[in-house]
Amino acid sequence: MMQLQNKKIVYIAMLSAGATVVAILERFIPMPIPFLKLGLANIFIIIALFIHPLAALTVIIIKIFFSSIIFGGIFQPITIMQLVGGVSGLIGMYLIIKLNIRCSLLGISIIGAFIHNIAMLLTASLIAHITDIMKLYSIFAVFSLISGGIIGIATIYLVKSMYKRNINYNL
Amino acid sequence: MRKKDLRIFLKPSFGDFIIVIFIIATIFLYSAKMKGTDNFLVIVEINGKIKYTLHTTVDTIISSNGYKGPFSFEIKDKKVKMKNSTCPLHICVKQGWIKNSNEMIICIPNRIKISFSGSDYDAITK
Repeated sequence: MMQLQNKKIVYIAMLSAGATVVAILERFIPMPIPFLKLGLANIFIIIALFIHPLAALTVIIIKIFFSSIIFGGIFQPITIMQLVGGVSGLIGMYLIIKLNIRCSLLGISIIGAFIHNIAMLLTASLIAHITDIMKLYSIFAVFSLISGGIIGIATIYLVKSMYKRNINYNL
Repeated sequence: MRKKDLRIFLKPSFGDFIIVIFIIATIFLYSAKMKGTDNFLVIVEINGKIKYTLHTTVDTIISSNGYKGPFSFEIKDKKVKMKNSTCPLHICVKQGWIKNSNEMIICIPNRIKISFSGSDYDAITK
């Protein structure tokens, strides 16, 4: 079992707080299509993933919990969609790293965004009984490429600057 | 994940390229499969069952009940939009007008789907 040192707990808590704040604020950024969001919280989730996948899962759950409370409550269908999407994206990113596919953080982020969006589409179709929701695939796929790319590049820059300042909590 | 040196992950490399190409390929394959269709009818489904089938040529405003509460939509100039709906985020209302048969307006809490339908015919055999 993972040995939880105090430093790690504080670090994971800070990542969760950052993910939550960023997730709440990014909803106010105007987007061409209303339900699409940039997914800035994934920066923190990817960093948490390199500590331990369960750390990333903690960040995801805390982020979804608190951002749902602010926006309409946790017993809405969108909370389930976010949970399924977030966990699927996490599993996808973890597999990519474990399988040693020689990806950089850019590819990991893109795959995470892609699987997250597709999983959200599928859960939405199950909840609302929409059979031909895959008509929206192209829009979601293009957007996941773009947003995953932006977040991946941002994460790369963030981790590079963390290395320069010798911040090294098991990264 | 113990003591893994993150530096190898910081340079874009071969796997990224494969992933991006793969996703772009799926997008092209998928959009090649879809033909454009004419918009004769507006179809409103609630919880999977078709509730309204209306002509796009007739401008109307209709109020009805979704899974969670009342909602209303409007047809005008062969376009459709959701006027209001009892969902917490009103994403469906913010989407505005839709014109193409490839678009749809969905409201997840109310389980509503508004889309177009019509006959699709091959341009060649027409």
